[in-house]
Amino acid sequence: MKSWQLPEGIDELSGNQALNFEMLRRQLIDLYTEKGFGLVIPPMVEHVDSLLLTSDSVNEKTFKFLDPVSGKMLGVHADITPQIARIDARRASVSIEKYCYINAILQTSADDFYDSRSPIQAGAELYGSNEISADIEVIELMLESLKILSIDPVVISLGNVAIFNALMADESLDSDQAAELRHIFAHRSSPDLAVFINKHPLVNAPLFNALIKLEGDNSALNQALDLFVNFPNAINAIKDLQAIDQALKGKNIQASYDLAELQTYEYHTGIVFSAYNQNYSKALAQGGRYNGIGESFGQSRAATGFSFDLKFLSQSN
Amino acid sequence: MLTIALSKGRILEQTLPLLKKAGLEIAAEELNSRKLILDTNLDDVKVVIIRGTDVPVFVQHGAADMGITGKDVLLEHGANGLFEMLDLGIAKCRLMVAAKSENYQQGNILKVATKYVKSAKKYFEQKGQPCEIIKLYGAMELAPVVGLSHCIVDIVDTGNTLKANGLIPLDHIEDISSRLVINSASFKTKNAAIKSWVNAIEKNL
Repeated sequence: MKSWQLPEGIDELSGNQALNFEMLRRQLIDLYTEKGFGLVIPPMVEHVDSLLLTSDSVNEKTFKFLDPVSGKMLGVHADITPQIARIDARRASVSIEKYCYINAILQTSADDFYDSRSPIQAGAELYGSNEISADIEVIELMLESLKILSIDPVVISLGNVAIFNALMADESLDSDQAAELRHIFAHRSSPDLAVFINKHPLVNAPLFNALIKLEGDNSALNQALDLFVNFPNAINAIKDLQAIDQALKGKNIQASYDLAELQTYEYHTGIVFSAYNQNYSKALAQGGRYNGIGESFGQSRAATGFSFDLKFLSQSN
Repeated sequence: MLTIALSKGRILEQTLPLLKKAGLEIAAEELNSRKLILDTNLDDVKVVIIRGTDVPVFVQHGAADMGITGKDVLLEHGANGLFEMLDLGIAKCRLMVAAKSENYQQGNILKVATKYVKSAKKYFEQKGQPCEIIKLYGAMELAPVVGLSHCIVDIVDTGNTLKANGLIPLDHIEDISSRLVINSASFKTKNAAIKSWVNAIEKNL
């Protein structure tokens, strides 16, 4: 291999592509700061402990190396969200804090969401509010971002991890079995769920079977209210989705509800959402609620946000 | 427009009647032609017929919205970006460990010949058995006979090929059958069309 060739999954922008990227970056930062989201530029490298939190997925995606100065393990950021959690915790604020960022990240392997190993992650995060209005605010900001990127029309898919978690609270699965069940839900594999339930009988088996197929327009939310009537946390989660459904009415957005959606990272705790367009074979932007993400930094706060790969979307602009 | 990727060979023979029952037909002259993208009885549905191992790749990258392929192929691919919504119950077989005898291991490291590298690694890792995987593309049964490996991991249907080569099926790893897979983004953007096909196929299983 010629040494001037870039490694697999690493790419660059030049000429008009680079210029277009920069124009969009400026427009997005203008939008976010106008809306009160303060710009942060987190470091590329940090101690591994503060980059990973408790997420196995982030751990697997993080390049790590030994710091010869301190003898400690360092990592290259694979996701900006844990860094925002650390920054927010350090402020020790009790009021609402809003952050935005557009940073290159590095991942050990590409995944469903990031096609390359070197995306430029753009995002906005809102800390300190557990109100549904905060989720609506970040969803609307995500939709405005996609408008700047000329992605039209947008299909937004919404779910709430709290429903799955409410069912899981009654189950006594070890961490490997829980991860397997999450994997089955990620692939909406009803056949594999049947095999799993055969091997590991679940207290809420009929409800898991119903949940994995529960998706569609807002009528799916009414079905969910009937199904999960004995799970107060799930009912609250569904009502939050209904509030978002109301807020999105009249915005010319096609909203669908996928209640089996669990998202990529384990740190999501509530509402999750992804944006799609028929010309793309993957989600273009995604986000959700991750309350308590800053706990390991000594500050457990409500948090919600979204992100997308600006490098990828700027090339299709 | 919907594009469906179908696996060539034995799976295709069992897939076509299933699709016909669901309302999708491909004319014999299309099937016998050298065309790569085939027309169907419906203007808004096209079919591509490709190797089973390529089906999840086509569907993951959106070159096809839906596909039909074996669970063995999906286990190796990882099924990223795919929804595995239906077990079609066709092309059934088992992924198994087979060897010349029950006491197949000699030495500390087990040598395993297979084309199912991921599945074999995962199985022996879960058993706590260190192993060296020897990737082969065919004629797996030959490997233990000529001393290339201690055992094989392969799909077993009747077991006749194993028997003919002096091997016996031992540990059962996974039941295999064909699955209907869907690109997760297509499922969101073409939801009504895809769901009506999933329901039509499921109703006739």
